[in-house]
Amino acid sequence: MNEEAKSELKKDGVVCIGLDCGTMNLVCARSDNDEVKITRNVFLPLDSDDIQISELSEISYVEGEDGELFIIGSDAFKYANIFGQKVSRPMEKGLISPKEISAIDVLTLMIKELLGDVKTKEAYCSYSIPAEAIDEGRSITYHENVFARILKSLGVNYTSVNEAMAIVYSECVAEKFSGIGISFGAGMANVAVAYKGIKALTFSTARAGDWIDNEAAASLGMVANRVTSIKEKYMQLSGEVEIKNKKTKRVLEALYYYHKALIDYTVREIIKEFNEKVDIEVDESIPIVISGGTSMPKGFIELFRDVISGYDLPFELSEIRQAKNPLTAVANGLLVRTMSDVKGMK
Amino acid sequence: MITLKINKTGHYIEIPGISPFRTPAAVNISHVSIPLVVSTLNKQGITKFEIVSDTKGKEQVLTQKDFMVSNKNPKKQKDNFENRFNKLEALMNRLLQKQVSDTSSNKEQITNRLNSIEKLIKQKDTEVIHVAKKKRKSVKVEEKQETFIPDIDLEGLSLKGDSSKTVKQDKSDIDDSADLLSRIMQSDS
Repeated sequence: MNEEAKSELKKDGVVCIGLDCGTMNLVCARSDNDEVKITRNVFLPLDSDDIQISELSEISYVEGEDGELFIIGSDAFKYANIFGQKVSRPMEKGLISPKEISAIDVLTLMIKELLGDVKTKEAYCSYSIPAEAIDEGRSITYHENVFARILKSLGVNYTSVNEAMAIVYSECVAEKFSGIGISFGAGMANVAVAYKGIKALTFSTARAGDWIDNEAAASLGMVANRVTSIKEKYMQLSGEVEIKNKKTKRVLEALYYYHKALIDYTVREIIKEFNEKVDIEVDESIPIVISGGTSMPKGFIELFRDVISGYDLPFELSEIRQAKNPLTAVANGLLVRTMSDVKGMK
Repeated sequence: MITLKINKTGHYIEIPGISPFRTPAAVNISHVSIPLVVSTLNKQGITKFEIVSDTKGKEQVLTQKDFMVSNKNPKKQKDNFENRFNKLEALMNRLLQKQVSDTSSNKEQITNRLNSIEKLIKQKDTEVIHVAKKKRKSVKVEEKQETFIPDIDLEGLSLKGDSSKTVKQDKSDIDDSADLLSRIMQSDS
């Protein structure tokens, strides 16, 4: 952001925020800071008898009045292994988890930490919500309202924005916000078709990163956590993988098949939904921009191009590209939207 | 000993089990059932009396107020009301059947019954309205419940350390993007 714009916002005492509420990560971009903050959306509940406070000096945790401890962020994984426990995830399949309703207070603290200082300023925030899933009957209403309540409790003015539309706001400026944004997250794949800033179609599917891990794990008789760990460490979808361990090679092979199946499923759904629901005449070629943690392994975009080339598309495609930073694209797009809204208010 | 005391003059009292007496009087009623004494006095319209017990350890003075029938059980009252209504309905059916054979002799009786049923129906209508009003009130309470969603309470919770990592980004384009989006949105609206 240029200095003039920054000082204008500072002068007004206004801060704009983009908050990406993802299943795996919470990401926050602020108008008054060049750093985007990311935290893992997981925590580990422990009893204070299990661990000495002095052992927690290097890590982030929430301490409750009744001796309950919640290790939050990526440290939760480390301590989950030590204590042989499973981490708790406030979100599941892109939405607030029905199993972790009691975690809303912890989630609020995590978001509070991520947002930083908003007390002394007039804060405006756009937060991400998924679209209704076409293959699962869960409503997004509860999810949307819980995040609204969290932001309200922190004294922030808020608006919910579709996650895939945020990708268009962030990555399709050259096309004047025309394009197809796809976010391959952990819990869901979100798709938005936008034409000149207008949302023409949004939908989501409940197949994304977690689906790949679970299916690969089920195929090989393994625990999904182990598959996730191998995926994050070694996965690449192009070129030779220099791994000698046979079992790991098997896991990577299964992961490749399920990545391909995921892309194929998503492309078919895009074509189907576009044909059924898009009324506007898209008379120019539009790009597909891919983002989200699941799209990060090397070769994902090439695999996507390969799969989509086998289909006749109902729109003219200019190019397929990856977001500049797949982890922060949604938060940046949300920040663009917030700043645009605030400008529109003046 | 239990004594009945009536101070008002000029009454001639007959209570079963006790010789009749004139008031003012103080009469030993130890061997008579107290409810019987009270109901007899009530029948005779005597409301000012005292029943005094001077038995050791059980000393007490009871007056008419202590024997007043309270209507504290509205459910029971409602049951009685329902019963009365049902009984009257049954009676009506019987009378209407009778009416076919003996209309003239029962005319007065039927009119009386009809009047009392009419009265009861009116009462019942009022009660229905009352219940409906009550129901509407409870709906209002439900509507208000949204404002009673508990606030997120972070009072007892404190966060130590920083679990987030940061990614440095060049945000030079963001303001231009926001400008463009704002212009496009405004031109569309």
